[in-house]
Amino acid sequence: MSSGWRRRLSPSLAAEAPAPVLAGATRVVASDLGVEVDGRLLLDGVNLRLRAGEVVAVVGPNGAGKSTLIAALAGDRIPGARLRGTVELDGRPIHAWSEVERGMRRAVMTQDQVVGLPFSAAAVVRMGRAPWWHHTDEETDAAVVAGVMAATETTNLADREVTRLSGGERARVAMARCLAQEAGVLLLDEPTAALDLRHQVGTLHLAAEAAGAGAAVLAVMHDLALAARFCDRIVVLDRGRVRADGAPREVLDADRLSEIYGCEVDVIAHPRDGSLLVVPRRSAAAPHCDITDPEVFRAATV
Amino acid sequence: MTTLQSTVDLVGVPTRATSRRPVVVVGALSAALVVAVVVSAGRGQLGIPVAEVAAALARRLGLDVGPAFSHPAAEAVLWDIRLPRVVMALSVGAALGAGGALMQGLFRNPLAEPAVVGVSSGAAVGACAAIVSGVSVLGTLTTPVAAFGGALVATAAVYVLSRAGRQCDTSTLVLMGVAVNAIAAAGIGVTVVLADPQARQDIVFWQLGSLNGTRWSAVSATVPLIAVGLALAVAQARRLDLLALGERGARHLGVDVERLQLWSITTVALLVGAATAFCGIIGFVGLVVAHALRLVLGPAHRLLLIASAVGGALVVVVADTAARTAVSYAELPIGMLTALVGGPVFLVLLRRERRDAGVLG
Repeated sequence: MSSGWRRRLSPSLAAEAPAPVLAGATRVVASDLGVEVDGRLLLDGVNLRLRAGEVVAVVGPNGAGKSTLIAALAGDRIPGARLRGTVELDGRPIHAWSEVERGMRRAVMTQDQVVGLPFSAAAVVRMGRAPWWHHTDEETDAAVVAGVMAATETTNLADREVTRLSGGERARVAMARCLAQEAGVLLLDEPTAALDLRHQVGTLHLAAEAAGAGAAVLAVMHDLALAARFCDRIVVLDRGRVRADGAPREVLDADRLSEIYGCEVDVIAHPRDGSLLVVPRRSAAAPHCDITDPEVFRAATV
Repeated sequence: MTTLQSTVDLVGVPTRATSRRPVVVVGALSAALVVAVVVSAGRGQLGIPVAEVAAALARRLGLDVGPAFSHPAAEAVLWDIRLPRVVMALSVGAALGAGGALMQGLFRNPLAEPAVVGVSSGAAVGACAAIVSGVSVLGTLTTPVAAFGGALVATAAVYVLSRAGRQCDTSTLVLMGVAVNAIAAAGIGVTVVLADPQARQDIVFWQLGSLNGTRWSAVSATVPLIAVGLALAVAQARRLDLLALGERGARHLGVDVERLQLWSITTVALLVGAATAFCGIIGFVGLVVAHALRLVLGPAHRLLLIASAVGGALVVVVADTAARTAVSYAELPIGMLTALVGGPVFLVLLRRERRDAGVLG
């Protein structure tokens, strides 16, 4: 019985499930996106397009607006912010979708993975199925959860309380939860930050795989070489503005990066496969002062 | 890492090691509750043997088994005095147990509790105002509805003022409770001043919490409200789980957080208001019961709410039996008893939490 009153009472019953799209179809369009908090422009005139099948890295110095960009693209409310511009998700303004419909279409991995109650890791991953309650059966949910947990190597953590996991383990559980959501758009805020090398690579492989299955993936990253190796596109954000947007080879320019990061870098090709490596120069990041100079030493210790 | 496609099989489905535990725990609690009800109904100045109580209850259900009453007044005592009180204790306990679990989920804080946070006091102000003013537009429902109103204002106020980010910070929560309780105490004081001497005495005793003199009319005004409250609570349980990821995290998973909060606040107020209206403030039941059961059953709210309702009912039935039989020819206020036990537990939990947070110790 799917009568009207039940649909009104339950937003998840009334939700419109997403239709499949072809690779290359536009999933997200941000136009002239601006976010202003307390008179400070966190994002300014950002234009961005995410297509099905691509993995896009967002890089930039601390405070460039990367997390704000994720929040704006996700359709989050940003406390005390004045918003400008529009975000479209699957062809509609993002707020034209209901909360459940947004949940079916985009998954977000935020930077901190704090869970307020001691749920097991498996229970947290199962939460990722929430937008699909009333739309899929339990067997499907269980299969998806088992699949993403195996893929993120979290199956062995299934019964552990998520509040007792290490930062890296929590990040993998959060990644599993995002994948379990089976959304067409993945917005990942530093998904590799807390991970060891193996799991950094594993996570980016999973992102690429999700893209291969039709998702548009946007990941905030700090490791430029990793971004160059695994992502189709790199967007460089600096003080709220997009400074560059294109294939790694077009974007990763030593002079431009040195200027944006305020740190001299070299961009060199990997000797074997030619993928780009970004390497800081030895003296580049050090403050220009000499600790042996008595004046400076005094200033530093006062 | 293996690929997504190759691992979508059911072999690796994380099975719950504790899958039989919920049935065992809820079953044991329910059995204990039935025993407690039968024993409690028999205890008192006029002792009725357990077998006679059980037989009388069975007869009411159409089963003609067991002994008849041995004392001529037993039937009247059982049906008119004991059972309304036991049924009230049971429903109030269920409301407070589930209300506590629901509040802890809503506030994302294991120390949230209706009496500590001031929701019970809010309900008390509403109920006192109704008692003293003599308004009875809704018949026997007047007091519960007024208590619901008071509880709603208190819950909403504490919630709006104390929430910040992912978890509601404990110090803020407890301090809010201090403030709301103080304001409510002042409000109750006003009603006491305005009341006539008889009502004044009623209010003072009622405030300490007591099920003394419960009539079927009060039971029939309370039980439906609590039943509705419990049903609403269970209906929100799964979404409440998602709130553990923070409001932002829950929104990302498709939860309409404002709507959920509105419903949860209303449900807490309904449960606590109905529980407080006739029986006064019975504190710490929700805290202790929900806390203990979370340790055993885990934090998932659907199961926790159901188990806390049964556990709360058990605790209040037992506590009320103690309250009316511990001292001969005297009634101890049940709220005093639960505070005597629950207060220290609250202190221990608070201290542990502070220590974990690195504030104390």
